[in-house]
Amino acid sequence: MQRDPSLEDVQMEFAAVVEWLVGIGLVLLAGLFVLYVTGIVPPAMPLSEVPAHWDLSAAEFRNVSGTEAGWAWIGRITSGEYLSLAGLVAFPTATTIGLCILAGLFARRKAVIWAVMAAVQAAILVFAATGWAT
Amino acid sequence: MVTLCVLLVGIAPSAFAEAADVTGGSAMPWWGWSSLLFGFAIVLGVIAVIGGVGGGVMFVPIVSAVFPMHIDFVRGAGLMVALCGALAASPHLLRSRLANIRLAMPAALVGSVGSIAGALFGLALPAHVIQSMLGAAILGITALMLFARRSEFPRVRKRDRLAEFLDLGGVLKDRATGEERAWTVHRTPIALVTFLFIGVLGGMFGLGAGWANVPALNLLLGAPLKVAVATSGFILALNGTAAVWVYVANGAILPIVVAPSVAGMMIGTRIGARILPRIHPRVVRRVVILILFVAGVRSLLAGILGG
Repeated sequence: MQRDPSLEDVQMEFAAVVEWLVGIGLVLLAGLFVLYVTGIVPPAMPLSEVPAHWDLSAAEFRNVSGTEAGWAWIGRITSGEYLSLAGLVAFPTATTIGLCILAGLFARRKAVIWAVMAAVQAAILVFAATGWAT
Repeated sequence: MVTLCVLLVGIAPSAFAEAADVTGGSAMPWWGWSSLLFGFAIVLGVIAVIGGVGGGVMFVPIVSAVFPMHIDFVRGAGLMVALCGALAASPHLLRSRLANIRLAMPAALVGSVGSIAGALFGLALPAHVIQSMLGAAILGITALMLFARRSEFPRVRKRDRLAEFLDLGGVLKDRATGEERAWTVHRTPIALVTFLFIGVLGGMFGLGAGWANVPALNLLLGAPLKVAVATSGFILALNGTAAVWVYVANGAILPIVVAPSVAGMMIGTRIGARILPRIHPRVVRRVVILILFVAGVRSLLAGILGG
């Protein structure tokens, strides 16, 4: 395969995409966490009770908090802790969206192998995100 | 300083245990724990940068030794710390052309599969087993940090067929001299198997995997050291994302643990980068290795005795 100089440009475009997505992620992380801990959005489990349960495993903690595995938490997003979790999830979401865009950038330059590789990578991340493997 | 750090990891757990009673209740309010974690993450971030190690690899063994949270939540936070740090640094590294996206893609592809498998396996294992395995892994990492040599510009005589097909390589420009040197890689198939294994370890223990990615890229594939360090961060972001999704689905991401950790580590790494020129990194690196060694032994013993 002959090196295509325009593929170097993909890296620059992708850097801009990642920077933009990370910026949004940081704002969401900080903003939604503040809403949670200040009680502006009240949590389902009072903050004072969390340290009493955080020595439990994740599975046991889920039982105590009444949340099922997978994406069930999204249904409780009106509670502070799940809203704050959505802010944290912005980061893996940024990577996943970034890869989809990367696949598109490669495809636009007809770099088929790299477009497919980015698309497969994005599909693996989407698979992990669905929670089907859990 | 060495004594202080070792004491922190070795003795602090007993002091902190008084703040968290055996029934799981806590004498310290949530904000006390979160503030403590925030301050602790700042210190770890400073030490990580000066010591030249990733924050993720220090976070899990040390925080799990010092704080009372279940190791599931510490691993979830460790992955988020590693992911956020790697993502925040990625744009700069990609623009500088030190990170090579095409070198990262095949490694991240197999690494993220390993990462998902490692995360699923790690969350299914009992805490004392994972604690013992983490201890053993950390001791292995300290040995790797002590004995692995690095090569600024490894000699690659002939690239393999896969590297040829994917045209893995690039040009490294020396900023000081302006000289440009072409580089390529070899042993790609063996390296890909190694990245799969690194992904499993990263996902299982919630560690950032820069400690393993850099030697694999530099010594095994033969990428120049600067390219290896920069590309490692990008691979870490992709593999970390795969594992984080599994931890999210399993409810192992607690915002009051993760948010102060991520914020503290980001602030700490910035402070560390500023004071780096004024400090002798080799001494700090030795301290980091010593701290990790103590944390590794502690984790191994806690796992064995806890079983």
